[in-house]
Amino acid sequence: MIDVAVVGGGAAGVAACVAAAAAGASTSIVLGGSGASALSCGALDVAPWEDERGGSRGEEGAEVDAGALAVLRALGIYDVGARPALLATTAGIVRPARGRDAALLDLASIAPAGSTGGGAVLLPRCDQHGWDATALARAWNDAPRARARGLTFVPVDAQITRYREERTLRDAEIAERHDDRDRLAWLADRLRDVLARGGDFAAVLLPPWLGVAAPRARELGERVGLPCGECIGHLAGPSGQRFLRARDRAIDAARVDRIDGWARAVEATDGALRVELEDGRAIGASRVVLACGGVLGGGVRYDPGDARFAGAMPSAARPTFSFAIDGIGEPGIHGRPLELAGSLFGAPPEGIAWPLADDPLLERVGLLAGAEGRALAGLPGLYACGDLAADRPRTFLEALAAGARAGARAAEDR
Amino acid sequence: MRLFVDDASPGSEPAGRAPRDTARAAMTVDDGGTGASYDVAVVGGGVNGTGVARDLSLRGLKVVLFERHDFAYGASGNSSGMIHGGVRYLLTAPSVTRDSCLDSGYIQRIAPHLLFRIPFLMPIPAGARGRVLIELMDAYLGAYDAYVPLKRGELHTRLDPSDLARLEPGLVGSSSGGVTFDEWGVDGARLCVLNAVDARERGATVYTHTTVEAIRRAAPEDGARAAYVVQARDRLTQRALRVRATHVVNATGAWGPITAALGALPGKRVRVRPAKGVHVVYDRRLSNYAILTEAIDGRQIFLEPWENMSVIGTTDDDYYGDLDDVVATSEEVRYLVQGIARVFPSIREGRAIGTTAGVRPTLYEYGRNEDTLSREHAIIDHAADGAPGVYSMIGGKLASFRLFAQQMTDRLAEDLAPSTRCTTQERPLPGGDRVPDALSLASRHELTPVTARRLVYRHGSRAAQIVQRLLRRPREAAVACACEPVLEAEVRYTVSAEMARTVDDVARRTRLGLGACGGMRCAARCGQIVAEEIGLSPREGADQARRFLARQARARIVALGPQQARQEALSVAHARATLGLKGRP
Repeated sequence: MIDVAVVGGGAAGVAACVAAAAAGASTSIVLGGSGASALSCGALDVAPWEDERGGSRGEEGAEVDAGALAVLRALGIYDVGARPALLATTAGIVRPARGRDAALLDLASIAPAGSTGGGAVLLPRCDQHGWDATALARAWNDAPRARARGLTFVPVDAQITRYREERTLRDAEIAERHDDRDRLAWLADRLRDVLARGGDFAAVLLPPWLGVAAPRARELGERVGLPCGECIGHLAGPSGQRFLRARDRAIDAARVDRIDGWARAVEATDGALRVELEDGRAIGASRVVLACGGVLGGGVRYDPGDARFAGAMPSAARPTFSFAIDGIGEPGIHGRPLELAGSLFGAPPEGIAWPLADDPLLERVGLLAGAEGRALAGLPGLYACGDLAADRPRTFLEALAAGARAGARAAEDR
Repeated sequence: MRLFVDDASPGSEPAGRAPRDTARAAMTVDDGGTGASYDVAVVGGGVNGTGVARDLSLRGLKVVLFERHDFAYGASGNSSGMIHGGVRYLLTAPSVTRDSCLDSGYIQRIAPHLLFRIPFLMPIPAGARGRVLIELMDAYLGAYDAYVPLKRGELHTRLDPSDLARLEPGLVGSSSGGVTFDEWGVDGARLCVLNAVDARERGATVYTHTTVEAIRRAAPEDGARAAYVVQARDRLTQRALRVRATHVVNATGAWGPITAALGALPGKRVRVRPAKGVHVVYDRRLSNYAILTEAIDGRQIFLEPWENMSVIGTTDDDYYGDLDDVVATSEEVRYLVQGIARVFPSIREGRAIGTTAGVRPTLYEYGRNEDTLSREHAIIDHAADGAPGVYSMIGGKLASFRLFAQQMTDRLAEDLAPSTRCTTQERPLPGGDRVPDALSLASRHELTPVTARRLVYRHGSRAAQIVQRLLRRPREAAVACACEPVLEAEVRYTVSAEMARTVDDVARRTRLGLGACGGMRCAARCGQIVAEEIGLSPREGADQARRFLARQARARIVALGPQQARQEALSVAHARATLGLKGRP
């Protein structure tokens, strides 16, 4: 029997286990598949950035939770400054973020808020699928936040992939090649060659290629003599991979017991809790922190009801959403349990997802939990954080903060 | 001077949306300056409008075409994607079946790259009724076989229960066997685009995203015939334009009565009974054959493998909503899935990646069930309404568009070019002159075979023009949409050669962003390319991408199932991280 069992290996789960271990609790973490954190892009937000009320939008920067900062230090691959970062995406946008994966180029560090002097950012132009430096320069030069600071993006011919067949590789695969020091040195040489041809550049912006085991932006920058960094690329880029590696290192450093498997159910046994795994193993723990993700991560299931009936109509109403783990209660939203919809097929999908719903159930439904993560109903000793918890903004910093709170509180209550 | 006679009886409502004062305003003579002069102004860029514009252009007439959205935005681009032979009209109107089969053969001749075979299978249930039904169907399709060679189809076959199970293992339930027959699939949107492109190359002026605001009688010129001024506005740039034409064709499908009202014509003369039809699209081919079965109310519905996907359809319900914003509902999706799942249960494990919805311009009749309404077409001559030279085309089907266009053009040609004859059945559509070998194209230009195959499907011999671009700009070989797949060169080509003006337009022409990923990887990139090609700011390109993603998401979520829900959450998370999300489209 241990003190705290954490279920889920995303941002909230690692935060919970690091916080619980730091509070002196004997801790295990159950790691299953990958969810939102493994697919994260490296931008750290408190609230969705495009939301007018969002925390990372203002130039002054939102307060970042102390627990989240402690976990970020343990992960060791993120930077959160006093002011928001400014990041470029291959969708052609320049967006603010409260913090960032250290591999990403922070445009605000070259052109701080209030400055209009900006500077020129070099974009290497090469034959690479998905990296059209000319078009991206055009798009970023048109971005209001870049223009306001006088930033310009200048594409310059530079063959920065080494082998022809790399043209069609995915970003994360090339990023992994740059974990090799010699290969990174080769890239630095190519960039130095380009810079030697002239031009006054303040930084180099690259595709998301700078390492998987760890961010290689700083090392590259030192070799090149200019700040270097990535833009945010497509889904499933290297940033999520870097998170997973950093997570594994943080779990080991905190001496947390790592268990690979899928949790199937949680049940109460003699004043303690028991987490059952799919393969039959079980973990006894005084407290259980659930961080197994929302709909995207697989912690919450959407089940409209008709799929399992071959006949005309489902014969009985069922909840539209359920949890992947049995025994942890019923999903809720807005502080209330979800009501049964007036349809045998559950809530009509028209009302539960973007862009038709203003506050989409698909993104907000989950386990109802108090401010410190304690589940409001169901088994005593259960905590929820991250996307599994209802009514939380789906952001990385919020997941870290909630995970750290839940882990610390679970350790204290053990 | 009163030009249009408003013959609406007292108390009756004016048709469409046009308020009465618009109708009055239109009764004045337009003597303002006009732009270019044309023989015919065609309103509507569906298959009827583009078909007429092509036919007129081939006969050497001067044509202008206006489309409010994009080609095939309405029923033409949201049909079942079939050039069918009219098998259902065999008993009621065998001449319709014959004409449909004949025209299907013609369409194959002029666009061989764009048609693909869809073998149909109709399982017949076991039991006494089934044993009779299979005899009836066998005999019925035996009669249909007489027309099938006209469209180069395979003759029907009769299957015993074991054949049925072997050919289509996904079918369940005991059966008396089944029957097969043969139809042809087509990409309806590309069919419209190719007609419009051909018309333009032969001299027609074509405006998309341009809505007609008024059709007025032009100031009379001495000895000249009646003429009209068409006033329109570009909905993307807000630029106003006016043209003069001696003839006007209203080919706006379900919008027909609204368009008629813009010319102060009595809407009831162009009366249609709008009927909504929806389809659900799945991410892959789920069956070998198209399967015909019955919905809960006895209506015929089907599952068809269509290009690289599967489609189930079709509903048919009276429609009272906004024609510019037709979307499927989850109720309609459930109705279709329920019906298909009864014979093909694995449809429930399939991954729905979208829905389509369109409104058929069925001929008006009161008091009949939607299914029994005629799918016939008709030409209304508005000379009787005091507007000589103005016609409305109502009704029609994708399968008989060429014939309908020919009939309309013949009428116009009586006035304008009596010595000409129709050649649309023999002159190939753009790219249809020859179908290049996809594999040799692939090896010559270092494309994947799938990329080359899809390129040839969409563009026929014009695939060569697209790959030619790669010789000058090798970077355009980058794959813009991996699901379909679509090359960057093709995206640029659709803007420069096929009049695409938005991300949505590119998707309609190439199927970019309509595959399994829902545009997550390609919409923003496509927006950048479109913006660059037509000289918009990159921000406008990003806005186009956001609008496209929102529109697609809206069409997808009505078919949301357990598997799609995760994908939908992922899609939103990605769009949020890289593009930002705005509210409703």
